[in-house]
Amino acid sequence: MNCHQANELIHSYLDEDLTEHEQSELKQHLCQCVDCRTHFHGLRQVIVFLQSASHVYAPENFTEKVMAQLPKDTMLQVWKKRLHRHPLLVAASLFILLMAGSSYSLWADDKQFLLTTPGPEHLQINSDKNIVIVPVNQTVAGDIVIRNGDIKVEGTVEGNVVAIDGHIYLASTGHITGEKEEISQAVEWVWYNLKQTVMNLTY
Amino acid sequence: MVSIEEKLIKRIKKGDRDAFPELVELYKDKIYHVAYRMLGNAQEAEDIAQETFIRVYANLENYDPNYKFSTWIYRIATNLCIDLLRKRKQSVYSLDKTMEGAEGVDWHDRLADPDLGPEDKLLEGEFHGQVQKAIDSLSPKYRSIMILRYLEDLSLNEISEALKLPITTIKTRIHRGREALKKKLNF
Repeated sequence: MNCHQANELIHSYLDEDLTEHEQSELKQHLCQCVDCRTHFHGLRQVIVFLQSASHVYAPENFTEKVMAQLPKDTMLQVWKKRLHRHPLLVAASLFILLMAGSSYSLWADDKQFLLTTPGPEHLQINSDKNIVIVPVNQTVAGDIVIRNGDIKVEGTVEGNVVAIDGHIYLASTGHITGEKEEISQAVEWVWYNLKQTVMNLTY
Repeated sequence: MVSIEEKLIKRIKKGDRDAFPELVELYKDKIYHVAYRMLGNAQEAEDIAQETFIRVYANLENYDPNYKFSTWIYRIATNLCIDLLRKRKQSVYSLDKTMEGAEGVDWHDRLADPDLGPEDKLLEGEFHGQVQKAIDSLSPKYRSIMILRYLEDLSLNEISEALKLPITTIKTRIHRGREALKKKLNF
């Protein structure tokens, strides 16, 4: 083995890349050759020297600074991520949203004027303006329910007055013995329709 | 066996906002150390290390899980360092340029002699930043390999994977790097 070949083996040895046979051959050469031995020790010193380098650590707040520089998610990305994480939940909320929308439009179309009363003969009904009047000195015995219209009470109602999506006007001469209630039906209507749809789906 | 990195990457891809800072915590010292040794400058090292993590976040979709995450992130960091060193070289005034109005005198003569006395050379370790000075004397392509091998303790295979170079090339460069440093350090 010449010194050039030995140098090749020295590097392979430092890379832990030698067979046992090659190792013993190298060892033999190093025992005989002072120059190669010196060279070998020098290279080993280089490695020890590099490995002695002290470790430096990332400065304080490094992670916070990285996080502050990351691009913010757009709304689309946020929804994409949610869809990825909770596909069922997103599908369900989308379904409810669409159902609520269609129920609402159903309700909005249904604007018919309706009146339920035990004594219609006592009332003045103006169907053009969707207004019902209980005239002065008249008495209705029972409940009055009106939908999509207003009611003006100038006489007496011996019972409840309910206006669904309408207003109740009580004149100074008027008198209601029972409850007086105005209901906005939109919310209940949507809820009712949703319930119906879900029931239909389950049965 | 699923590594911590793989678990974290899965969580990040699912949109878990807490997982990315955990990944940064896990790698920040390693990446900062490599950048610091490549560049020899704390401010640039911090900028490059920050940029490395931003690139990791932006390119996570392209990460191939068949390779180690560590080799992928080391590749991003060393590439950013080499780019910066190249830019720096273009913008910095060459020391070899002859000074105007002073024939035969170049900028090397104006610098303080960085060599230390023989007694200092006996001292091991970081004394007077000797390790950094030795690393700085290497060209970037040797520098990255020597840092990954001896300061970050990567295997030859890992370095080959990180730098996308054949293992024979890595070996040749390590051999030359060791020889160059031995000469530089008079070992």
